Amino acid sequence: MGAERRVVVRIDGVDCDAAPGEPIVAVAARHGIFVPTLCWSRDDADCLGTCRVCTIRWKRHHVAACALRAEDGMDLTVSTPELDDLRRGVVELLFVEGNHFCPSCERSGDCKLQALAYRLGIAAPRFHYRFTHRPVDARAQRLLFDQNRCVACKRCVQRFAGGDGHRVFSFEGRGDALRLAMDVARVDALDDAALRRLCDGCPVGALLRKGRGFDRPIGARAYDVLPIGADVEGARGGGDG
Amino acid sequence: MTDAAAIADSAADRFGRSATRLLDIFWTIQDALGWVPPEALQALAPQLGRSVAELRDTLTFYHLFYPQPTPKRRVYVDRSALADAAGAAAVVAAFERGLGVRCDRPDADAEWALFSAPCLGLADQLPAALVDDVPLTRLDPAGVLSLCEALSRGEAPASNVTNEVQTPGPLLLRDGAPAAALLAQVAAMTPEAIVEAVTRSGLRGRGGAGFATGKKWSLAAAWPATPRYVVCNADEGEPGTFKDRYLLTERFERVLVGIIAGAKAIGAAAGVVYLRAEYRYLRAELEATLDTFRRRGWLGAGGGPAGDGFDLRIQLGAGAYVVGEETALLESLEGKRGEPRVRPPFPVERGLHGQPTIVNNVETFAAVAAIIERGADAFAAVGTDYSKGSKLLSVGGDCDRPGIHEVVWGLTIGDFLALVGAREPQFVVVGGPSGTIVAATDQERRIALEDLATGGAMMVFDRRRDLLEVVHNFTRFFHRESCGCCAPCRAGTLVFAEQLAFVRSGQAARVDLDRVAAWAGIVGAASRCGLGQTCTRPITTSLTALPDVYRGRVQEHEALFRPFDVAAKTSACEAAIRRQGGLGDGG
Repeated sequence: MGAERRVVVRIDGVDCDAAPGEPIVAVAARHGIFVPTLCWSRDDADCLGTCRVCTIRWKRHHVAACALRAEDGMDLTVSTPELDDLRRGVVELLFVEGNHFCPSCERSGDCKLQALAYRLGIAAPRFHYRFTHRPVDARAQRLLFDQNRCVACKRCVQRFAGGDGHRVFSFEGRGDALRLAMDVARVDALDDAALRRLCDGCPVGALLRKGRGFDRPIGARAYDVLPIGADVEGARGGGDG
Repeated sequence: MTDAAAIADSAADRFGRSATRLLDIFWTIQDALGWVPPEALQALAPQLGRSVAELRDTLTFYHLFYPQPTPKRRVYVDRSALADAAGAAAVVAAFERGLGVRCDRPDADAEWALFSAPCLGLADQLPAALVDDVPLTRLDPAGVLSLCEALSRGEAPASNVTNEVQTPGPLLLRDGAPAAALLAQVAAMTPEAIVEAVTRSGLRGRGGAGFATGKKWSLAAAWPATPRYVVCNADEGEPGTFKDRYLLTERFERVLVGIIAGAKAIGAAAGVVYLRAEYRYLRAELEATLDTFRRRGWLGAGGGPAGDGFDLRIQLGAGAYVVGEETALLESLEGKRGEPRVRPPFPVERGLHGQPTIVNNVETFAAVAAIIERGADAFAAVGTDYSKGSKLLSVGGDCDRPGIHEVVWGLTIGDFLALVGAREPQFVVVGGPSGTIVAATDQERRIALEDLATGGAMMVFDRRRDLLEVVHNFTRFFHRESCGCCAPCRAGTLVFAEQLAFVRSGQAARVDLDRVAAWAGIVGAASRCGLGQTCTRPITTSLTALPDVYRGRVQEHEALFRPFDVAAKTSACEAAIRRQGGLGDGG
């Protein structure tokens, strides 16, 4: 490690050391700074940056911290009243375009969207709810696909191929009519471990393994215990509880 | 084997069974059948090594592909803001009557389908429509009815497009040397000399974003990977613009000179002209010109001026404004959904098929031809310090001289309005929906990349026009064209379209305007590509330029429209609780 070149990135006034090209979200997390994310995951080398929840400021630009790579001397801003409200607004847009009834959702407590709403202090969205018709698709043998909860992050499309190399999910349509489409035969052909990876990769409750919805009781789930980001901020030895 | 499967098979064969040619394959099938049926996708899947779902992923992205039964014969009526001002609604009604169909509600069993289109690139001769891919302009309801009768008698429509040059400027539209002479010059220049000339000219991309062309070319030339590609962006989709249509029709040879110079500059192995589907009627002429160039040894085998057998092909788009964004265009060229890529890496490093690629606008290449002919210094001698050279403007709307105007960068709005003969102008839309709405009284603003940037669209509206109708048209346009890839644009464009309808209804309060402006800040800043980043500009720039128009349309009785304020309603209760010493801990 010591022989590798390191760079210094300043995030909210804190000098953070980083590997050149490391995603800023990861750099910030290692230094106890939480950048809210939804579609990003630690394992993704190249995030598509579709949810925009991790938008931060770099010079005069707004950029997605998941897709921004560390360069020496960068000076970045994660938290200001304006940026916090921007992220709140983006999450609110996700809430109003789908149908997110958290109390009845099997993913409640493990859902990043729900956790972000709590964390960002969203009581009610500023936009009108759309109440669009989105069917629940139960055709697959072991997977329930609830279109109502899909945030079109594209993770399952981009990251997940079936055993034959073809995608198991793809997109149909565009704009606000964009919908995830399931290749039922290819989902059914997945082994249990692959199916589990697929569903665990969904940041919300759109992809669920059938018969497993309440294996862990509500109240004992990840974000029931600790708010989203608390693990990151805990690493700094503090956080705001 | 069904008909559809056989057609799909031969289409796949024709394009080398390559999924990167998916748009061509879909076009071939749709031309034969009117739509792309499921049996065709079933037949294609094994040929192309894709699943049916993966094929639908691309197919359903593009407006002009039909995955459901649709009549083969189609009419598209231009419904841009300019077209609506020119009476497009009555033209649509006449087509509905004449063809016996409903607009945007295709009936599979009818002979004709009628659709509205955001802009057909005919803004100086509206109202306009494409009938069986043939452009018909300056329509009126009576003419449409007799056209429909002629069509029913089996007569074919005949194009009546004109290409009006109103103002020939100093660089692009003067009669110049023939292609042969310019290509001899290109052949005599080293790649470094071409890049140097383009850099020294100060040329910036003419598509609207204004990136320095010489810089782009030098980056691609320096990136250590081959093959390299050159792409000409002829996906002229910004409503109101049509100057690329003019260049492709009247001056394509000069555009090709620029492309060949670019190819030589970066050492490109091949090139593509990405042509918007609405300009399909230009294709035969363009192909004929390419053939002429090949016969003369300027393209293809034999090592023309660009060297190494450099050749070009034309890629037809399929109706998607967002594909005008260069990385979305590259995705489309690879047979995928036209969703913009994450940048960096930029196309100069990893572009088409992951290889170094320059993507430039049609007019940018035409400007390169001018630089080769007249020299970098002559080019840089006009314009402003930041915006060098001249610019083609596509002028439409309420003025005496609509058409193509070549102007020197830096022209003021006042001089522009005089040049085009605008009478009683109210406002100008500089650069189309993604540009800037500026009041006609703002005479000193300049048409230049550093002030009022434009890719060429200039829409003039006089005092009779309703600003909010125009802004509403633009917000609906962005809602229709959002690719859906990122959350703020996908959901936000609909919010703005609805808010504009709300303001137009007269029921909004002033606080609603403040809210819309605040929301515009969020969506503009958080969106992933230029479409989402600029989709709020019609609202934000018109609120700044013409605030009184908005004020006149909202309710002043704020109290009636104030949102429910929880804190105000519960403050008495909270005070009482405080007086009691708090809620305690129960019991």
